[in-house]
Amino acid sequence: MINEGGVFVRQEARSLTDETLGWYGRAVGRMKERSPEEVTSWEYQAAIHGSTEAPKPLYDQCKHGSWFFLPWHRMYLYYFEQIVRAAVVELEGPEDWSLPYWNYGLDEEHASIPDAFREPEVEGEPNPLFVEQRAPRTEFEPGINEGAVLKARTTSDASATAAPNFVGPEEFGGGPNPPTRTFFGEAGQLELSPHNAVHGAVGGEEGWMSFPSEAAKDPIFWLHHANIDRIWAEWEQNHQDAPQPEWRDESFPLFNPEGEEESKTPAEVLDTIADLNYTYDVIPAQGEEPGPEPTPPEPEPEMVGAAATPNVSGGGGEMAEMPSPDRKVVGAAEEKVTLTGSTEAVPVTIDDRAKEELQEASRKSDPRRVFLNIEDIRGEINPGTVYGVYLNLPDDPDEPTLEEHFAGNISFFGIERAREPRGDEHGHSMRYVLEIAGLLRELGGGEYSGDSELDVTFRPLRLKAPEGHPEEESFPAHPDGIQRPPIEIGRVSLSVG
Amino acid sequence: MARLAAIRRRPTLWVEGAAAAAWVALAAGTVVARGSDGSGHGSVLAGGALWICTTGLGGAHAAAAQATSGDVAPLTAASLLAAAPMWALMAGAMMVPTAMPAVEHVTLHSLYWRRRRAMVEFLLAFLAIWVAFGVFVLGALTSWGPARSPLALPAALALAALWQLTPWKWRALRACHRPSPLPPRGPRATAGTIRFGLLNGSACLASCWAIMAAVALTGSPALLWMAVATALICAEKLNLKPRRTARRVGALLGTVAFGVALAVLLG
Repeated sequence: MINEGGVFVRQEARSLTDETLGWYGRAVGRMKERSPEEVTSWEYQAAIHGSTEAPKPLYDQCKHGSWFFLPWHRMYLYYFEQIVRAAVVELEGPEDWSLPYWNYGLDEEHASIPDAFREPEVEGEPNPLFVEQRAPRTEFEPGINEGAVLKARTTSDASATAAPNFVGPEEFGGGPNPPTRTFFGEAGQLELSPHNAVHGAVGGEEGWMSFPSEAAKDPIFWLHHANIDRIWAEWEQNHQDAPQPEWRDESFPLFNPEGEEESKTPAEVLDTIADLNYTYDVIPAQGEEPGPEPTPPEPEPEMVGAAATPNVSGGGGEMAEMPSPDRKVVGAAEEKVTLTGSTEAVPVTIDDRAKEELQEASRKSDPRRVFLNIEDIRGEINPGTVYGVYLNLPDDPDEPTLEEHFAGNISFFGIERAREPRGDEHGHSMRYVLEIAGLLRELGGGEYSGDSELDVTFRPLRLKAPEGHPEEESFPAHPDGIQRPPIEIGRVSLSVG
Repeated sequence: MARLAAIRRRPTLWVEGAAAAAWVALAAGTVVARGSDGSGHGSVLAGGALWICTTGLGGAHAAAAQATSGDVAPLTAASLLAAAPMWALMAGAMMVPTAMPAVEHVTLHSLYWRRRRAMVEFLLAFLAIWVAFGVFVLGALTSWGPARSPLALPAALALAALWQLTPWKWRALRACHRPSPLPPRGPRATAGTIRFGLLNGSACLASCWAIMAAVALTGSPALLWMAVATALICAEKLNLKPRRTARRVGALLGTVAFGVALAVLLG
């Protein structure tokens, strides 16, 4: 679809009433017919993200666990959309075809993959959008291809959209890794959830979506990433992206529809309308209902550490400071946690000398933030399980209790590549950061309760049967005995800053 | 002002200051050495120590030889021991800047009040690896005849260039970015930071030993060689594309090896 300004408009897939998905399927079929040697073939386009085969030009380029995650995938989708559009036109389809996005976070009706991706056949022919390699039905949960519903705690973008800044693992877009920090991944909040979580939930233990080397072979991958890009584009309406030249000016090569190599920098893709001539149906067209001007985060002169140096330069010519990563560690678990598919909990011991500081920092009036750090995450392979992370969760919780104690979700997309990436980049151990000051306030009646221990529970977020499904109630709510490939969490800690 | 305040808040500022001080000490040593002919310092200890920080191991050996009978003879255990602090100074100046992400990692992941202690524990373990290597190289080079050949330096540079292209180098460079568990408190915390220092120092050694061995063979002014080597090691550890950078460093070392060999052969 093209709007009045001549800008391509990406629309929500489950709300579509036209043939957009049909043409997507036909174009995917056409791309699959091409020789895998052609850079515009389905296989080659997927391998640009990741591959298990011998490297060819621009294979294994995907950027994860860093502040390049969002701009690289925006570029990747931009060229892919043009390649698909060219195939649509080749098949005598609409010239204004645009890549749809799957907004699984809208409500429960949107939280299963669109029907067009679930049918093995269309009009007696194999459906190019259907992929068998998705989370299958098990005794614990329904399969993705039978319409399993992703839970709201899996698809939540609340933590990302609440982030005031772009740079940092606790912020929207992720941190630099390297040059400044090289041991832990710097995945930002949007990469963590819903990006990683939806990958794991759709892919399951063995499905393509669970692995960077195969994910882009599943046609739903592109709609998932269009949704991630849509969330970024909406966030950009009233926030500023990273001002650092180290981020803005890094160049990434990709193939254009003519099969030629073309490079772009993040700075060249920040305005989707002006730079790339596309927008989303939820973003007001220019001149229609202008959104609020981008505003920098509130100045917080008394803040300590990173929060004291908001990473917005105002776009001036002056070189922007890297945000200081300084945080005070105020408590940590003594033991590692190993996750194998069932619920696990670990006590985080708050040091006596820090209790008061933690209490102060958790108050609403205090500008500091409190973070739960899930660090040094290691594993051979992504088990495909998404875990909800809960604080001080009572035994046998019901749904409202789970909601009350929910701090965020973690999952492990890309863990098999994190320490040994195939591309020319440094390896790192995975780490996630969840902001929990608000939750501590809610659980403690206005501030951290002052307890010496904070229990952190990791509990699998399973798929739900869709409403009206004959087996809606038949899956056990809290199954035991699941054995997925182990994930080891080296340390859970609490920091203030 | 804001930038200055941010720098002041850096918890690792004192480590950066110590590394800078090590460079100043080495530069001062160079000035002192240039003021003398290098032969009048009386003892093997003084000569070796001063020359190590000014002209590298080749100079150390020359000083040792001059201070004794003029014959070539291995340095004694005592002189090797005396050289250790000088190696620590060199390692502090050269390797600590490349290890700053690790120092910062230890700082940010230790309980707030044991940050400085954790940094010291890490640095002691990290530098111990390099001092041990230095003593080994000093002993090996001063007791091994071919190391005194004028072609020893270009040969070492060529070896360093080749090492850059091997898969072992690549694996070692990756290991430089591998964290190790840091328990929060008690003896386990100390053991954790020391273990991380040893692991990180070993990975750093496996990655950079060849460059450092070549630096050890350089003649005066060693300071320049050391500064260049530090910049190259920092670049390959911190660059976004480490494999490409390591190869470029290898090509540069190969070119320098060729140039030095040519200069030696042409007299």
